[in-house]
Amino acid sequence: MSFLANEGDNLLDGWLNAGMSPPHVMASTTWTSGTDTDADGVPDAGDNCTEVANADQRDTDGDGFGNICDADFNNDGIMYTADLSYFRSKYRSTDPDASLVLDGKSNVNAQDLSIFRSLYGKPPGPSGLH
Amino acid sequence: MDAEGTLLFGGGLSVDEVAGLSAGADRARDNLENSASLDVTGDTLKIVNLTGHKLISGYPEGRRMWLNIVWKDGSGAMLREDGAYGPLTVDFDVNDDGSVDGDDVVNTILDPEDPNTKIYEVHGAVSQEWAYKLVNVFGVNPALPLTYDSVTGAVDHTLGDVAMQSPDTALETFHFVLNNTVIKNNRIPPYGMRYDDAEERSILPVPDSQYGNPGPGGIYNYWDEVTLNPPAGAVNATINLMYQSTSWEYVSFLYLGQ
Repeated sequence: MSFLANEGDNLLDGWLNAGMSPPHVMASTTWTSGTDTDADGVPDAGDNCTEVANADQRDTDGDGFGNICDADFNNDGIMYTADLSYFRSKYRSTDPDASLVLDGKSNVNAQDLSIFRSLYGKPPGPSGLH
Repeated sequence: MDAEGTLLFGGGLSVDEVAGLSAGADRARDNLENSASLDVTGDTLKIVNLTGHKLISGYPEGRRMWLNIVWKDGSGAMLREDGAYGPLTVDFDVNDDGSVDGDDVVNTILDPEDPNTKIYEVHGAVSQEWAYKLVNVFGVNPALPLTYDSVTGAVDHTLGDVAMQSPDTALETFHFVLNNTVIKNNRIPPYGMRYDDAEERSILPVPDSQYGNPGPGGIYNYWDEVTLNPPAGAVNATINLMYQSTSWEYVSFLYLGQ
């Protein structure tokens, strides 16, 4: 079926070959997620750690919880004894599992231990991605 | 016509006349870009009609206005696009190469039925009662197609199909000559549009619950408020109010209906 062959100079051919009338932008605006509880510049809806500031959104294990609020290293839903054992085994390691570097700095040190203590016994997060 | 037999407008016009047409097109675009304002408060988008007529105006020949919204997460990755407009491969030889294949592509709203796609338009329809009368009283051929699949070109519904529908139902169709009712009219009223005037001119919103539904003696809202539906993880979105004067769906209907 050929439009041109069948229709000759039919106006429809012009429309079809020109792609009809292309759309035109009449007006534009933007939407941004409103709340940013921890004031880190990342709105809660997209923040992987909504109650602790982490502008870098560091999430080494990619589970949707930022490192700063995720000491659930075995991803069983709670930060507990197994996570503590793993943390101890790597404490002050010069080549640690990067997910243990809770504060985003160079190695697993006292700052990370302090964060771990504050998280112990709790689920990871909260995260706007879950 | 050019060497390929395509009809071209503007042949024989002077330079000044061509410039005048071009200036007219520029003015039309300028009017279009000043016909509405958008304002976001929380998850509510307010669209205000700044014209002196319904937004959009005019005959329902596939003319439409819609919201294109691109939602992104914190990394800038797109999560969802509402009202996406893009290429659609169809079973028509639209590129006129003598074969129907993957190169036959048109552009249109890709998922107009998606609940997150908001389209402003007016659609006429044929009621069951009218279809029945056309077939059984006026002798119109019941095989007359009223709708086609815009991808395959196959007939979706005929006049006879509508005549056999349940009473008090109607079928949306571009067959304006046969239309006897409006099945959708969500175009935004202009400032000060009175219910009584709208009723007299048969331009009431359909359904009637829209734009404040003021009833007799009342005045309609000249804006619309759309509740946005951000996907999980959305941090920002770009919202464009789009306009198109003639859709693929209408052009294909004209062609298939000859």
